[in-house]
Amino acid sequence: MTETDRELLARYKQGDPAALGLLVDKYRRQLFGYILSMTGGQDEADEIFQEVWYRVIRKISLYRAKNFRGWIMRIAHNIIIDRARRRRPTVSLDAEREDGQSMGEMLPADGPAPSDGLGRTDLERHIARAVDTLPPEQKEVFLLRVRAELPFREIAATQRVSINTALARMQYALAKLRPLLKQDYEELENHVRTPV
Amino acid sequence: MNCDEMKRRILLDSTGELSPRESEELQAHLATCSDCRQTAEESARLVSLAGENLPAADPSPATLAKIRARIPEPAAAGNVLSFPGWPVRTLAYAAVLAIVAGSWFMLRPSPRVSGAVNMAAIMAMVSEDALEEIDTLEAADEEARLRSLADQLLMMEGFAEEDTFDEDWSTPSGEPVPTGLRWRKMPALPERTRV
Repeated sequence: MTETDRELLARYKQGDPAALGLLVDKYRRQLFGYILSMTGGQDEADEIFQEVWYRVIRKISLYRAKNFRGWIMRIAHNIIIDRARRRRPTVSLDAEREDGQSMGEMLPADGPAPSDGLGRTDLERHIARAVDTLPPEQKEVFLLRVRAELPFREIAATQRVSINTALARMQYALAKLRPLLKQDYEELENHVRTPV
Repeated sequence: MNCDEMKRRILLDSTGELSPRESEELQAHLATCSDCRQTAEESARLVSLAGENLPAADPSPATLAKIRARIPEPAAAGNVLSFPGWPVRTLAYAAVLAIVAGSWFMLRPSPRVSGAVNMAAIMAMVSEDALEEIDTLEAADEEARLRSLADQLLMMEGFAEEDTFDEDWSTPSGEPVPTGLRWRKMPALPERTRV
């Protein structure tokens, strides 16, 4: 039977360091997937992932709450925000060019480049690019829901907004993604239905 | 029940966050509303499509090795901090109270300062700066305590608690007022007497 987070933390505090390693493994993909989709690439995502766990290790003796997954996602969120603030350009992203486009729209989307050499399929790249077109807050809500599999009350706590705001951001995100990905899921459904 | 509320519930239902009664109401509505039914189906499809097809991601083996090497023996974990757990928390509380009390004295409203700005400033202090070093989910409990303290400070400033949260209510900078803070400025505050 899989141990719960609370059991693993209790084991760790009772003297078994391997228990914390199991938590690292348990949330490896959810946490890293969220970080990678929010940031610029594998290297930065590795750094942030590492920093999340360093902070967990530093503060584990103080930790008493019940939602370990929500905790580590919040830590990751804070680190991502801090790094984004430090990278903020001096020109306003809302400033308009002569052709009416905003500077923000001219910036390349975050996330891995299309031909990143990681062996991804066209579908994966297409979906990743579609998600990258979302505004940052909506993108984060979407990724926390889909990658980190957080419930909306935890997403709201992570972003420090009301649950209504988190839900609204998800609705906007889905509304933007729907036309971009409609063809993909229709093709997938047709592929499933067509006998081989 | 209107469709806007139902579309919210569709999202909450997908994460199991509806009560049984709310879920029943949603199902009853979906049985009669094709627009909401389509929204529910498309949302589920999109989430499923993205969940299964966003590029799989793993940290590098070197990163994992560094993290594992950093995990101390639990007996040594307490030494990671300079002090045992409880004095750190006590000091953190004291620091937060000092910050909140200081901000209250600094931010006492003059007739020209809007209540929403004061409240936002106090909450920003409580929510952001004061909690920055308390980076644990225990902060959720501590945040609740600090919000309670902030509530008391606001009460002293003449704010009254609302029973419902107005989603459209935001600070002058446009940020929504954080969850848990449901205050409305009481009308006709007495003029402050200069001491």
